[in-house]
Amino acid sequence: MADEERRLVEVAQRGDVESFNGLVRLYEGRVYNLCYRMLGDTDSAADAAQDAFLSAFRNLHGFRGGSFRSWMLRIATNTCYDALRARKRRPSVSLDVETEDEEDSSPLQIADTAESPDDFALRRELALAIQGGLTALPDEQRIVLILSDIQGLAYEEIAQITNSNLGTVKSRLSRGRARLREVLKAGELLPARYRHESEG
Amino acid sequence: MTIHPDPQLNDADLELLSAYIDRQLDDGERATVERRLNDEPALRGALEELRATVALLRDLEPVKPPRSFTIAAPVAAPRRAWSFSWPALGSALIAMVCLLTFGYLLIRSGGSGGTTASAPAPIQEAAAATAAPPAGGGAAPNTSAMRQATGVTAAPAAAAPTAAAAAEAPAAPMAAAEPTAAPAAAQAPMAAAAATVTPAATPMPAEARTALAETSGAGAAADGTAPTKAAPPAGAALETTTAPQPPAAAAAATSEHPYNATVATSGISSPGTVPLEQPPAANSAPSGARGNGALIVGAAVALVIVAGIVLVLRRRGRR
Repeated sequence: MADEERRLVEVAQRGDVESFNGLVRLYEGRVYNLCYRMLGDTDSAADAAQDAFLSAFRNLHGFRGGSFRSWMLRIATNTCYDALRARKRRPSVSLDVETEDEEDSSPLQIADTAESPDDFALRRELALAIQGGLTALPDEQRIVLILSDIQGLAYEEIAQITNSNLGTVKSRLSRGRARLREVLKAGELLPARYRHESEG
Repeated sequence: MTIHPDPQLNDADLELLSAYIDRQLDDGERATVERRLNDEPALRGALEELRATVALLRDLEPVKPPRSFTIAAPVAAPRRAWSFSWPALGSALIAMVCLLTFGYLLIRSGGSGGTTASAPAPIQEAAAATAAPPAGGGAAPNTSAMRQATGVTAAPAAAAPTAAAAAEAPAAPMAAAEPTAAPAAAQAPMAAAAATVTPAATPMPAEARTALAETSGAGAAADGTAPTKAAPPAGAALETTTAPQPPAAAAAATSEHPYNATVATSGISSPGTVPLEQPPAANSAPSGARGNGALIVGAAVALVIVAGIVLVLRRRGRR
């Protein structure tokens, strides 16, 4: 897999779009999910993911080896930061938030036919609450939380992607987790046994 | 929804617990944390809540992308260097031809009218003096170019009109005319040195070329190094200004008729002096203004052309 990825990178660096699209197919799910968790809505996430891949292709000559995944996620992270900055400059109402109650707006889909509508509703509510808690975090904490706990990356790779050191990653991660814990606790979204335990 | 951070836990504790969950603690730290977890229920509760939070995040289902993000070839295409299309190359070529033509016309008008725009630095002119022989094939150009560099003209009998035109250029004083200015004196030797040493690498300035064309009939075999024997007396004796002549001027004041050399005082010194072999400088001011105007217009046209090319290329690059 790594060899195949390296080959695709090398050929794509010579301008081969199809090889680059092979890399896109490998990472589009991961990149889109990162963008979605960072930006909080599907349209912005799709735009950011597309921009990130275009930017990656245009700057592929600057890739000097190492982990393509880290490099790609770094570009995606920076693209999200750009989108967030633009959003702060020009605030707009998120359509996803407005249409929270509409079934179509949810990125979640019923996992399988065995899931009851109640379970689906609960799962959706929890997912929305978690996303809301993530959105409430400072950007620097949110990206570390996404990369660590959603994407499952190691501290070192997170430091590389966010262009920071290990101490900063650890600090942001702990603060982000603690803050999200408080949000979830306040919304009574942590599993009951933990809530009771902490209360007792 | 208000958030109330756990009052018992500080940032260090939270960081410790977070690292403990991720198994990022060394043995000693882990033992310390586990001992505290046994003793402190609040810490234990916080750990469980943090673990639950992390578990919720890890259990989040991946969101399916709404579309593929593969890129189309035309969108991605040109990022390679020198991948210009024929229209782009053609327009660039046309622009270059326009620039060259305009520059040539500008030089022509500047050479005949006594331009003020050229020859800003004596070093360039002196270097051009050595560049002239291979280009022109004659020996005489050295003299005229030297004259420009140093402000000393040859005998009127030899090349009077062109020498006067060359010496008329107000740029020449920058080389040697300012008698009391130290920089001029300092630059002059450099000019002379460049005249003898610098090969034809420097592009030939306008005056050098025009002077070359017009004085080729003189046929004087002036060598850049030869003047040293004849020039000092000539430069010293014929200098009409009160200031001492810089050594380079003396060294460069050379021709096969060294004693016929005169100083074009209007070209090299104060405005009060008048050249011996030309009418008063009444003509030079309008021609200089004309040259300036033409230069400004030329620069503006060149700027517009270059900006147009850049815009076209960038637009094509984006597509």
